[in-house]
Amino acid sequence: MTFALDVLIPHYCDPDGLKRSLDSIAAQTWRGRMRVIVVDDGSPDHDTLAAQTHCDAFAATTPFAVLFERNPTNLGRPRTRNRLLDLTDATHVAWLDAGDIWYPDKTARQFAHLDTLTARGVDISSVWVTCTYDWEQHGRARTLSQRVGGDQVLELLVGDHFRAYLWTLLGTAEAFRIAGRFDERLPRLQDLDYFLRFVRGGGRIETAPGRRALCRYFKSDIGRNASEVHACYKLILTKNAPAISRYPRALSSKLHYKANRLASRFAYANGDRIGAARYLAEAALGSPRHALLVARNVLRSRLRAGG
Amino acid sequence: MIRQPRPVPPSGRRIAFAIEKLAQRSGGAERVLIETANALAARGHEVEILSHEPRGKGPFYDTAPGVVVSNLLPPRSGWRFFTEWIRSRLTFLPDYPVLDRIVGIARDGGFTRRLERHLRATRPDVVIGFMPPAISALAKARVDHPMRRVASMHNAPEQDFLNPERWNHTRLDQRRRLALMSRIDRIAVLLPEYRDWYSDDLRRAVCVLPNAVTPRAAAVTGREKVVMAVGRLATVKRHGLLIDCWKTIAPAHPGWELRIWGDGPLKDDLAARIRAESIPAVTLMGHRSDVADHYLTASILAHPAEFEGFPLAVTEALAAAMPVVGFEDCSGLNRLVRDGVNGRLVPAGDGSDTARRIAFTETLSALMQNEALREALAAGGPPSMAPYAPDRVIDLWEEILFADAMPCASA
Repeated sequence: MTFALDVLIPHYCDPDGLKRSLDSIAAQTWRGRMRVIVVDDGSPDHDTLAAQTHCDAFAATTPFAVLFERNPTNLGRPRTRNRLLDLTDATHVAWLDAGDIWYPDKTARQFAHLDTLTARGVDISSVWVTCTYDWEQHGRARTLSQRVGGDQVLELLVGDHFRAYLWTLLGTAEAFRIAGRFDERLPRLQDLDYFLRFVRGGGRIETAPGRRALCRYFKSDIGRNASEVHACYKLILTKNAPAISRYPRALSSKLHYKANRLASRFAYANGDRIGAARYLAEAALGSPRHALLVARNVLRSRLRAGG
Repeated sequence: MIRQPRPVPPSGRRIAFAIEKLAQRSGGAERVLIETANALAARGHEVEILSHEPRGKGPFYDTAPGVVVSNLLPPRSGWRFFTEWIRSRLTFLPDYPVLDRIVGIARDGGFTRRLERHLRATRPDVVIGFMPPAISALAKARVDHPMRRVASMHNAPEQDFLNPERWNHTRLDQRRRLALMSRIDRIAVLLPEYRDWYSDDLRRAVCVLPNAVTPRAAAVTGREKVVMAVGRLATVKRHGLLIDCWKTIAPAHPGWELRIWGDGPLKDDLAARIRAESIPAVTLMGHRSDVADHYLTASILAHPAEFEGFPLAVTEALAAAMPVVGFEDCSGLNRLVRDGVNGRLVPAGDGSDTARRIAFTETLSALMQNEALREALAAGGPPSMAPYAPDRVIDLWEEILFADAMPCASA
């Protein structure tokens, strides 16, 4: 049986989060031939068992099929995602991380948008559809839309208004083949690398119309290794250096600043004040022009707030 | 139900092609590179094409979805104007011992350095260098991961290694170009006779990998009275000789036309000569992407080139049931065209221009007169190209790129 949609979920030590994700899939208004593929990344036995129990319950109570597999050891997210890619054989693919949720009309709206694009004569075999999403961190949520117009390589690199989040995506299996496989050297930020490869390989990302969010991401910086994040960001910048060099040099400076700022944020969130200060100093010294611009903007906004 | 992980499918390999110049280049090797890259991407591999050139434009041929094109040479801006100015001055140093090293580094050092840096970051499983400049850079690049280095040769070896007029003219490069091949894991040559040219040490790494030829459904009869010539307008293609021949042939064959497709350094000279000598029924068509369609309607491909690697124009004409006329001593062509089977091989005589001109005129003229012979030769074209069917050639590419054992194919 060929499925119309495979939903790919990597799971590690979060059966409750997985249940939340599965419940959101069960509530989808789209009722095509869907299969959920979950790969457990070598969680402890009790977590694996709980995750499989949730999957079995999902299969028993919904019209959707489930495939549950397990890595013998913890191989990391990129390898788990690659394994998910190997397992898929549906005509369309969507991603969801265990713990995050889709709102009920996400799949329907994204399929409808693919239909609209097809009607307009767009070749959807090289299109991913992203969507507006809710971002929840420290109990506060905000709705963020994806601005997909213009130069998508540049927008993804800058990341202010267009962010590389795999769990927002739905597209044809053919379109996902454009991006190839996840780089297994990137335990963090592999989404950004994957998105950049897709766009640089001739893919185009569209967004489902409407300002309402279609999914929710529960963000946490806790437990994320700052030096790992920093190394991954730097590697992505090096891999894409030929593309980055086509833009004004200020971009390169900004991106290296961003890499250090991001690492500083993760270090701070995990209680490593010294590490955070070190990354911040590296950001300021490595990209002084950009650091001054940021400092000026912060100062202005503080003055405005104060005045 | 818990399953064990499956092995990574062989399709998901990282492949990089390296070529020095690609932007808006419409040559045969560039086309083979893009078509091979596209076919390998369609088979599920991650493909990146790396060039190193000042032109910021994209390739002439379309890349398929999934193929990433990266120009490793950053645009000149800021301090790079200054360093580039110094570098370009250094290439004009006298090419003598000691100084030749500076000239060599000034000319090629940037490509090697940037290629090395990029390969270390992207860690491809295999890198294919196309043509000597990229192959030398690939051989010199030092990486810290297992990576197969493949050289894709597109000319007769004498042209790639011994002709001082081709590729890099620096002493250092000419001395080292062949020696660097010992650092290459696989050397793909177009024809079996090219393998024999290499020394015993290198021959172990040499494998025969022809270009792919896409079969075309073409009619043998009812063709227009058109003689085609396709190729870069450069000395090596001998378009001047063809125009000389046509000057004699045209008056005796009213209704026939000579159409020359291609662009190149001799374009203005050839156009001026046609005008000055009022040669009838000959047109310079320029470079057009629809040239392949004309193989289906024209009658003969005239290809008087001096030497070839694996001429795409010839293979495409034969695949489209069009007889080819060329010289019997033209490498590459003389392997593909079989006299009296799918075309005519013209004897070079004493090798002088006059002897060649007379012989080519006679052979081409005779074929234009004889419709039955044209049809018989046309029918022989497509079967002769069957061994070069794209799927078979891409299978062979994958074998060369990934198999542990040397492919023994010797098509």
